Amino acid sequence: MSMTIALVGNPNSGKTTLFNQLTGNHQYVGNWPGVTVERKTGKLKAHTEVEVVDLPGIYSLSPYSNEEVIARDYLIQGNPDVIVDIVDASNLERNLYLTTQLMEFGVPVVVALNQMDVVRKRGCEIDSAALSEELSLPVVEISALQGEGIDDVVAAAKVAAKDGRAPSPARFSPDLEALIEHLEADLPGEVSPHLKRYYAIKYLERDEKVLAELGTIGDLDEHVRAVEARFGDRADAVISNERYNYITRFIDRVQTKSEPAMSTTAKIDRVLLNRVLALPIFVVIIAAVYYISISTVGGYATDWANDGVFGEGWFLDPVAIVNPEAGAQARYDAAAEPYAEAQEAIANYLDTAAGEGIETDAVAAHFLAEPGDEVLEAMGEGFKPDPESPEAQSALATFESQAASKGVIAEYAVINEEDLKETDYFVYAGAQNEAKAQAMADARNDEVAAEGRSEAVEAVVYNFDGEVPSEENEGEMVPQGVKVPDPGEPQQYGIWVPGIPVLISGALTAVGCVDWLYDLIMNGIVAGVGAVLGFVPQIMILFFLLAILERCGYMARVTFILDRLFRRFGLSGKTFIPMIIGTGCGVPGIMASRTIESESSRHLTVMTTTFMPCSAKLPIIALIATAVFGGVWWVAPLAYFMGIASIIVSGIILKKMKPFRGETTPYIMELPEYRLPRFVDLLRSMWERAWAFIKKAGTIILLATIVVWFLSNYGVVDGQFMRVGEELMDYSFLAYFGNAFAWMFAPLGFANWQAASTVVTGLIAKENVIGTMAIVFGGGELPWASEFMQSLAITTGSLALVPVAAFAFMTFQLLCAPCFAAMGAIKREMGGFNKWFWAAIGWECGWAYAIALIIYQVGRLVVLGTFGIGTAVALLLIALILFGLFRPMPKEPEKPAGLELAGEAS
Amino acid sequence: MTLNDIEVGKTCTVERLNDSGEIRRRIMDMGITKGTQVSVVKVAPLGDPIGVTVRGYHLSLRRSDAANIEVVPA
Repeated sequence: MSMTIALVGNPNSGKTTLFNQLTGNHQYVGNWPGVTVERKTGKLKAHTEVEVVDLPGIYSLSPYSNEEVIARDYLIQGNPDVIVDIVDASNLERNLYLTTQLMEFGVPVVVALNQMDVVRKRGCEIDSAALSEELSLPVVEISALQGEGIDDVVAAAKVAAKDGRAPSPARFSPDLEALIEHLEADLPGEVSPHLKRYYAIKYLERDEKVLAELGTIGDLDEHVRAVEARFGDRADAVISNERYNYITRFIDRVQTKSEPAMSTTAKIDRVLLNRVLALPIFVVIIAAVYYISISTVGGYATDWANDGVFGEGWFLDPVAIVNPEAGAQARYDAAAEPYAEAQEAIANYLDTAAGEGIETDAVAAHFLAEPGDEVLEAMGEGFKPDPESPEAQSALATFESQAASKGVIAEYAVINEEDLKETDYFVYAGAQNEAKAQAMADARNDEVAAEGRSEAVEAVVYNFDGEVPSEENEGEMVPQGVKVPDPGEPQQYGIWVPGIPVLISGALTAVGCVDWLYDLIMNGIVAGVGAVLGFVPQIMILFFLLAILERCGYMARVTFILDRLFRRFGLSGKTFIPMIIGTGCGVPGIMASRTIESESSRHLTVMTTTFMPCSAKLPIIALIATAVFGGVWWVAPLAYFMGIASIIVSGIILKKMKPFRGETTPYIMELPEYRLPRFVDLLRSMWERAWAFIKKAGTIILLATIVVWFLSNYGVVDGQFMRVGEELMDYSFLAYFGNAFAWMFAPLGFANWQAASTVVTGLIAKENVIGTMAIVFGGGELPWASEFMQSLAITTGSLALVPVAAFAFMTFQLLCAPCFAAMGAIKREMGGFNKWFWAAIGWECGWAYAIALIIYQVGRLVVLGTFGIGTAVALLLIALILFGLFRPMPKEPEKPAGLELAGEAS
Repeated sequence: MTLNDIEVGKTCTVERLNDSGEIRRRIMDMGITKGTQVSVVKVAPLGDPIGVTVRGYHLSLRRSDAANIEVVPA
């Protein structure tokens, strides 16, 4: 038998959990009222002919909120065979209020009594048999969370649906019953008999939707006046009263209450909602969530994923987790870093010496060459490099005496990829040249000091062939050249797991992959998708912590703590929920705004929610924090703070504009009991959202990286279509395209085609920003993050401005219009591509541009002390924002303008 | 006297609701109706909203709305 079950219940009563149990789906569950904002449909597990419809949680069937309208429209038009009413047993009285309304639809109702365990824990008891008798409805005890009683609900629902008997509605006082009966007789003819009572009551309540649907009936006023005269109150109030009276008449027979000892929830609230401590605790909790997921645990995990799994490789080394300094990685680094430095010095010294006409081949072959280098072939057949051999030592001695007597000093600079610090080396050979090299280094240091850049640049002296530092003379000795021993392979230091790019590269080389395909796979797909996937561990930790916050019941408290603050800005405390959800993903964040009652506040929230950095923007923050700012702790909190500040400041400014003026947002919110989230639920919630992220990397981002790779690797040079590769990437299609609007970002400090193109690919998905950067900045001598910073040094014209421009770049990327998926959500919430939608996108882009411009220009003024047109524009923008913030609310009595505008737009 | 005047820790009984329209209807849907006992249990850190217990559960509402609920102290 095919049938439809409608799940109805109060917000936060466990409906979605029951829906998931019934259908085997994994809908989103949280512990605050209003998680389900849309109707969802699923098939019953093991009974696919049974359809289950999960309606939004509602307290009543009044016409005021979207959820209530969705639910009651479905109950009237959707013709469900049976309503399963989930009743939160721990909050029986108020939950039954909705039940009294559901009994009026003429559809069989089964009451599912949820959370009995909470009731028992409180020392209370509910007699479900007595309740069933009082309501004349089947009542089934369930635990949605534990999955208990689910089969009983299904069985009861099937019986009730088969039976098809309408429930007998809740009876009111005889006086009111008589008046309702009287009104029923006057209802329009098209009202079907089983809905007569429902419509009669709605008429008495002067329900706008019903009046619009059926039209007023002749002597309606007379009926309403009769009720109001008899009861001395407004008719809708009379009906609410009567419903609760009906419940209170029997509630004590059904429910035994224990002495109200202080509940656990009250004890927790005494601390978390303490008048003095609540705000500091809130700040600490939120800061801890993002600090843990970005800077500490998450940062460690991301380093591992980015540099290890998607980099060269990593050590499987449990020791390092406890004591990183004793780990294999640390031991390998201690040997490998001086060696790499020494090799660099040797190569540069040999180059310089060769320029002076000194023979260097033999030394290069023994001390420097890698297999396959030309210099090895030049040494002839059978040559084996061996620095310890007598031939090598004599060649070295000859070379050194020649170089020393000519006074060769090699000079070169190395830029640290992590903090951009520049080290200028002066390499000498022979003791007699040490003083000369030292003098050159000193002169360089003086010059740098005069430029005021001594923080960023350091000149050092390097001995081509000194003594190897021992423990006694460590620190006194200048660094060494040829005597630094080869660190060998990482495998010798521990269990080494090669990175995915290394493995793929090896496999491609082994099968003899053609050049362009190798490049597409390695520098396009692996670089782009890998750059995104590397952030999965961090995002999983964030999702895990958010799931705790959502499920324990703290989220509703946050609205309580912040309502006063947000109301000042014309928003409600409920605005905070979309903001927090938005840090995971903007799409559910925007949808969560539906619980906000006032239309103008809802529009405002939809416009500003995506200012919060979502998980896809996290990699951008992480990149700037680690690569540009050397991993300082404050970049990530600052990014979130900018999001919050943008929402608040936008709220204040916009609220004073005509379309957003209007009624103050109501705030009436249930504070649910705290619940201890189950670990498996947290893991599942984390995994589902992380999986969505991974899936996106495998589909839309994969596609985008291929397109970006093609556009950046091919172009037209001298009228000819060709592969431009890295050297000529400035002639690629992407460069052509990016250059078309890169100029727009000149006042923001990042006017190059690479950065401009990431703004566009970011619209497809924000993960693409990092993926695209990995492609367009990759392939150079330095890692791509450093190439990015070097490009900024060019656009800003100053190394000192690189952090400022990078920060402006991050700010713009975080605040500007969200990805297409989130824009789609904005469109749905605004009701189409109307002026509200375009206002939202326009405001987001304009705001991002203004803030990034202010950051860059003010930063420029501080760092360089020069004043220009850009500085003037920045100051003007600051003045405008301050004006918007502090101007008094314009007064004009009028009806809420929001409705008027929405009407025009549709 | 209105619900807004009740101190934390005190209980009162609802006499009538003064406001009209949506907010009043919401307040009633949440169980604050004539004759109901309401206890004020907490105040938000910034002084508003307040938290009350009604019909055995916790509800928070703003002071401006509480000021429209006439009560007699119990």
